[in-house]
Amino acid sequence: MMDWSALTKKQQQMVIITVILAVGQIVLMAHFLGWTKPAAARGGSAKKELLELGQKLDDARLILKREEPIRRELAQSIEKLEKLTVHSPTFSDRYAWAYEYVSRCSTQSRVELDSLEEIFYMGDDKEKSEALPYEISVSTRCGYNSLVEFLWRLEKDNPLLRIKEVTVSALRDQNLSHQVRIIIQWPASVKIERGNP
Amino acid sequence: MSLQVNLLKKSERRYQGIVSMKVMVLGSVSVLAGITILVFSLAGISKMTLNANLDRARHEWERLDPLAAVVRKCQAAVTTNRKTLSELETWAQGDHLSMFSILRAVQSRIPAQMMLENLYVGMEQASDTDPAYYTLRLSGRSQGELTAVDAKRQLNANAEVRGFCGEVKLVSSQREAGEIWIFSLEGRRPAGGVK
Repeated sequence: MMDWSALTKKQQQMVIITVILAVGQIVLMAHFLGWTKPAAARGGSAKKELLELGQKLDDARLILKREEPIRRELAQSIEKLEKLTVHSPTFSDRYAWAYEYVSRCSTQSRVELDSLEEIFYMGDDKEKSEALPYEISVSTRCGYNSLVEFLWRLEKDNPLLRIKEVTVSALRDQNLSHQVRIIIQWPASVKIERGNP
Repeated sequence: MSLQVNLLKKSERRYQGIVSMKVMVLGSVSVLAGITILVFSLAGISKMTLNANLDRARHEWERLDPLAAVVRKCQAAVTTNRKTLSELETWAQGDHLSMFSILRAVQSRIPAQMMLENLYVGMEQASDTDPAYYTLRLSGRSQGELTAVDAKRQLNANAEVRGFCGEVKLVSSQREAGEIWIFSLEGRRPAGGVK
């Protein structure tokens, strides 16, 4: 053991300075190496950024690995929707489309159309009305059997067509012809998402 | 008797042991300095490695991000299309029956002694907030007091009619003149699933 009293004053100063320096160095070293900070904050923003980038890269690699099945599934869904959209009125000119379809069915059933009108829901905002089914009202005078055939033709050739209601009223002095009103519905416009072109 | 006289000054004092006090102090300082240099060197190398890894990751991200974004868009499109297809499927195969088959069933079940004046088949809803009902309503004239009751029984015996509007009930029946009766029949079932 060192005998402190045996040291000269200069030697004592040297020892004290050495000890102070040592302690100072240890504290500074610990500080600069981040040992005084919490584990998560060590390494500063670079380490944090690297961790975040690593996570993002893992996600990106994962999704890129699945690129082929995703593209295949997208192609299949587009194909299925395209097959269905031919049965749905196009949004730009759906009245003309519906008119043509209903008119063709009525001709085949020998039913003469009196009128074909779009049904609008007043007071609804545009977004809501676009989500509502597209409805048209058909008026005609025809016999019951012709009506049944007309409805059959309407329904069988279009899987997306729904007949919401049929009203048949007797006409005075006409036993074989009735006043008929039919409300036909199609789903709101069918949108196809194609991903990236 | 022997006598020892210490003539050394305090600064000239020697110590027993391998090294002197001065060497020990200098050694301690050197060791500390060495450790510090070593630690800082290691920290520097670590920092450089971290920066190099970060640069590499950034470049990799710049390369992969646009590719992944395209695939993500495709995936979002698949999800949207799948939802649209499911909605269309529900629409096409909802709980509604084909209208022509219901009209045909009604036609086949109405006795010849009845003359319909009004027939309503469809989904009825008073307003957006009210529940919807699949409704069959028919009214007209019949010959014979119980013809309407018979028609009701016939309609209820038909699976398609019953599946559409539930049980058909006689709502009213009153004599018009002689054997001619004015009647009204109705069946209503709450619409389930998609309207």
